Amino acid sequence: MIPRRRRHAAWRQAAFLGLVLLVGGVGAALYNQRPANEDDLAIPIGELRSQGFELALLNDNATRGRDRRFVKAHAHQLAQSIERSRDELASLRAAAKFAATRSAALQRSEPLLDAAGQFGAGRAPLDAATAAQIVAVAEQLKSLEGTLKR
Amino acid sequence: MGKFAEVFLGILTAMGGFVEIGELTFTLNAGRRFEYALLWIVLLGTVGIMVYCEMAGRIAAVKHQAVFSLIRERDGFSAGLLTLVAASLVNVLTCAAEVGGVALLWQLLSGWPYRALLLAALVFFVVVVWSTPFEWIERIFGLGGLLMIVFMVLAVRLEPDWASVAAGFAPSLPRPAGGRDTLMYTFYGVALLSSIMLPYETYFYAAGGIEDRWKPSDVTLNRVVVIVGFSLGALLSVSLVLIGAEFFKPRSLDPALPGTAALAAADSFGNIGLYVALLGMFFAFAGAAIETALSAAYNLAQFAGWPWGLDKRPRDASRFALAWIAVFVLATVVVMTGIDPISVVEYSIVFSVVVLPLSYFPVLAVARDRGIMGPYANGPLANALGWFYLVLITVAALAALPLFVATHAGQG
Amino acid sequence: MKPTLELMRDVLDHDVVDVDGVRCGMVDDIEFAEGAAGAPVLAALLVGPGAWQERLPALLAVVSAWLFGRARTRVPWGEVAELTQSVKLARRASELGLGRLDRKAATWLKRLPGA
Repeated sequence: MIPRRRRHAAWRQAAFLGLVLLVGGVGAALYNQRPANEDDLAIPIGELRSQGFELALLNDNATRGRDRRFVKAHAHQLAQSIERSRDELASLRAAAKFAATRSAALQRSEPLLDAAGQFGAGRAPLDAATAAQIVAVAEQLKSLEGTLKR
Repeated sequence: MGKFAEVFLGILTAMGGFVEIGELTFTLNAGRRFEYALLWIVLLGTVGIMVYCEMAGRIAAVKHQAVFSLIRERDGFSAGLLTLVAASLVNVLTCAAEVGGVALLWQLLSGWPYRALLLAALVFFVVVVWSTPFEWIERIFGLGGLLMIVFMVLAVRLEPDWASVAAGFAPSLPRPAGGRDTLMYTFYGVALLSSIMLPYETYFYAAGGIEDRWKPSDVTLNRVVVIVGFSLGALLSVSLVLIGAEFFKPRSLDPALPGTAALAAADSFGNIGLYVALLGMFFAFAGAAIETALSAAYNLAQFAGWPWGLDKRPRDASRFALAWIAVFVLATVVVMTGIDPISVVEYSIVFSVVVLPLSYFPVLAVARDRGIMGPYANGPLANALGWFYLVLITVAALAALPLFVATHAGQG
Repeated sequence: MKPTLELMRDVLDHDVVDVDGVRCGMVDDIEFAEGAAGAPVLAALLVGPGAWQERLPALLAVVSAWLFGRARTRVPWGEVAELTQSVKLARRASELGLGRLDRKAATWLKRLPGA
């Protein structure tokens, strides 16, 4: 049997630890509640920009005869990353002045998901029009990102 | 086996085992964001890991004692327990990232579903470690990792401006672009340093020395393997920075998947380059998964006084065997939750920086103690370097968490 | 053995190894008895969770007691044959009640092929 003195000390330490965790938890929750600023928005938009350019690179390689299974599988992994970034962007509570940027980014990145899906369905490489669209989308996201980082 | 062959193999194994998923990601992105400006960190980190692995290996050869029993003896029970818990957490997270990385690579080669491949990876790792002798594990994964040389060839092929590359080896701060850039640069510097000096490498290296039954006469072998092998491994890291700068930066691409690195090789070398890169990464990540799981088991067994070692049959080191199996299972569970392996590795690298001073201090303390090491104790150079790096990693450890938070985990 | 012994440095937290060279724990605590003239005399080494829990802060001691139990094995000082880097015992671990969990784990690991 653990001596009573030790048990009491254990309770005191547990209470202190609980208090620390509570304060930390509340602090973290409050921090997450604050409206997203330009830095917060720039992260998922930057990810989408990178994913767009990566899709373009993948397509370019597909036209040059890369292993089809690899192209399909990599596109699948990319599609999941794109979805994650879009979800993150959608979940941010943007301050009023950034709301327009956020919606623009979400809207413009939709074709990326479609294109990645096309790869996944085995339709690689993409037709010229879609390929050009992907590059255009990526460039647009890049300039959106640029306005936020200024 | 002849000494020459043993040294040669040791060097190749050290080289092939140098890079794992965290370091791959950080080096590529460091090059992508800062071009060659962080190359001096690669150099700094490489010398650091050489210094500490050499000391730990020397201790293993002379005292036949591995790092964690040193930690308990020198730091005492409570501090040792704290280090054990922290190091175990880091090991499990790193193992999880490597297992996830392996499943991602297998998916790229086979097209099969990710979660099924995670389970397959778990079975693969448990069967391999259960049935393969230690030297063969070291050799297969170390030598297989040498396929990563494709990235060295790619770096040269991309024709970097060698003068700028050389300039990158001198310490510098980023162009005065203001507070945010400097913050990111510092974070990347700390993270890169940490990913090169990951503690599991030292624990595993020393435990390996004991498994290989090193004697005091092996002290020179230890030194040669560490210096030459890690230098060659560092060349690989440098190549990855170059690829980040020359391939990914012009394309505005932030590499975030193993397949992205393979795509760079494929772009220049076609399907051959693709397969070599994928296979090289497989051996590198799988080797790291095995090393981190074994490292966690070594640490626990050494701290608790259990029999340990792959040289023993599992029944003769039963809790040790259960420990490494449990680590693989836990690691697989972590990535099964769907968390992205690259995110896991970012967390593990930052937290491992915090563990570094606790893990490295006892190594230095014992290696320089003439009463324990006799004529094999640290000379003035080893002492100077040992202290320098201890101070450096302590500063890095203090800075790591604030930087992590301030830069949103290195993303912005 | 040396004429004077630094217990904290040379005994506590060192490996315990039995006569066959098998590791069977760490010296988790040391027990003293009252010797002649009231001076404390080294009586035994203590191995096991019940021993190291005493060295932890109370909260951790309670949690670890719940997780790992409070078993403790007492190894009389007379059983110690030699003190080098490890504490070497004169008999087998099983005869002294050490390493029980390893043997228990071994009984069901043995059923697997290659164990």
